[in-house]
Amino acid sequence: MKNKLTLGKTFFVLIVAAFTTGMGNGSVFGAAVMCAVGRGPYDNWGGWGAEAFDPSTFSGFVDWMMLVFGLAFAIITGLAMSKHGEIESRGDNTAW
Amino acid sequence: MLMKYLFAKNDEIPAGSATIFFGFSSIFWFVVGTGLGSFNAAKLAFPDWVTGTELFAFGHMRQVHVLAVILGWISMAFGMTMMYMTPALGNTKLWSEKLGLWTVFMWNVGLSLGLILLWMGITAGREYSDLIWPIDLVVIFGVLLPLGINVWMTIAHRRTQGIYITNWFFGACIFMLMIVFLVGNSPELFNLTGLTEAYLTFWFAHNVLGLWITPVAAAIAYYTIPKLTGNPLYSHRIGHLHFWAIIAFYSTPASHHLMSAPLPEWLKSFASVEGVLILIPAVAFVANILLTMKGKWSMFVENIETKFSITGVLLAIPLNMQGGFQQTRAINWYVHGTGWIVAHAHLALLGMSSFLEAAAVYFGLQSVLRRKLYSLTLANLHYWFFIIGFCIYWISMTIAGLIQGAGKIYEVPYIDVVVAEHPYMIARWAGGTMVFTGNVIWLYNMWMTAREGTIVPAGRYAHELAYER
Repeated sequence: MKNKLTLGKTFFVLIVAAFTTGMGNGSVFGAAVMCAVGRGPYDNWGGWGAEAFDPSTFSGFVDWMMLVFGLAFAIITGLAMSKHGEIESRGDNTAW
Repeated sequence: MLMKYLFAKNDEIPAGSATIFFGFSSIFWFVVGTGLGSFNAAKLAFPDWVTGTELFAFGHMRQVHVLAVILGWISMAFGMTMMYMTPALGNTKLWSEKLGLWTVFMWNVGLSLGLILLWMGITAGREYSDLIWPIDLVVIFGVLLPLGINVWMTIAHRRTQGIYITNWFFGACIFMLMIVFLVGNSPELFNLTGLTEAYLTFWFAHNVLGLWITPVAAAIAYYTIPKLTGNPLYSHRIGHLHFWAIIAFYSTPASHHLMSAPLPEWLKSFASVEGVLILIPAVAFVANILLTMKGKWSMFVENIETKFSITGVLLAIPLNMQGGFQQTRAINWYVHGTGWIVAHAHLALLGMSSFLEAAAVYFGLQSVLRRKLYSLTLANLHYWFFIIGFCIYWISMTIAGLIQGAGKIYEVPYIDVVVAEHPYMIARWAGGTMVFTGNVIWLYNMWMTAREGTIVPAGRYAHELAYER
């Protein structure tokens, strides 16, 4: 049986569903860290046109953490799916 | 046809009729609810859109949107799944098909009436428990009680020894929701005011989500994933851990919605700890389902119902991570009252919950109608409109919420925050409209499935044939 979980077949599910899942976890991590370590100065409050993605601000840091966690979760899920695909294509369950 | 069966003898009503009427009602309300959501989002993105008419004011339309999706789409999808899963899991028939049809009828009539009244501005004035008390009584005694009687009696008449975890949730959650409606609406019934009113309002709001929407959605996954994959549930005992952890930890943290209110400090601390403990049932549920997928992961990309289900389960991870921690004092200080919370609420209802229900409605309607899905392409199109639209919505609202939080903490002039929010409001509208468009496609696809879908031969399941031409 051929591998049905190649990157080509899983790519869009990973880039949308898995990425969003990671972003959710990143939002919590980012918010928790920023609450613990503090925030940037007034000028960098994060409004539109005011360095919204400046990683020294509360919102900027969380935005970046969302992206990092999203990417990480997509990669982890992609590797896991690829491994699952290999095992399922061999048709044996002994590798679990 | 519904009217004909309402007055027919129970034995003369074809099995599955209640499931079909519930299923189509739920999709219809999903289209209505997301359409209203799109309309409301347009008002935030484009402030000049439909102004000057009180009926279409945001304050009126918002309540109609929220209750159309909660009591229309989500709860009727739950009703639909209860009508076919409860008997299937007890190896028996639904206790009363006729009572099921009367429940659908009462539900549609009561909800339509309630939403029209809200639209006209006749409201209880409390978030989530917006319906006025006569409509609350219709919901409790005209909808939930008959639904409960049907589910409890079907479980009582089961021909299996044990009660599968899905039915534990179904039976318990209907009972809990009735209590939530009775107690949560007591401020209006008994004219309670002040902090008591605030606390009970969010006791209601919290428990509708925590004891109805998320646990019943999870219960559905306990049925659909083993059924679709052919694998037994990884652990029924972990399922019980999930069930009892919900009962123990998630019926009490209502005051974590009111961390800034002058409620007793011990109550807020207690609620906050209970809120973090949601991670126990959440991890139990997600791990149980993902381990049940063993050896069948290819179905995640090949089978439309599995794709919907597993996406819902994945979204349960950030949902509970956010839910568990955003209500702690440190984070709540920043995100309370911002778009972050709106994003989180949609992650629960439109993300985790709706994806699981959509899978169950797809599966249930095909199974009961004994017809193959009319178009797999349209179903995939629905999935991608739904997930991409949801992601755009959730990401834009989360970022918008962080900017609002910054504006709040730094005491930035309100109008500057409004200007900063504007691009995210447009993104929110675009994402929500994609979800709405996907649902219109879904309604058409299921309607055509009922009319023209290939008939499934005896002894086969509709979902087994999805890829056979």
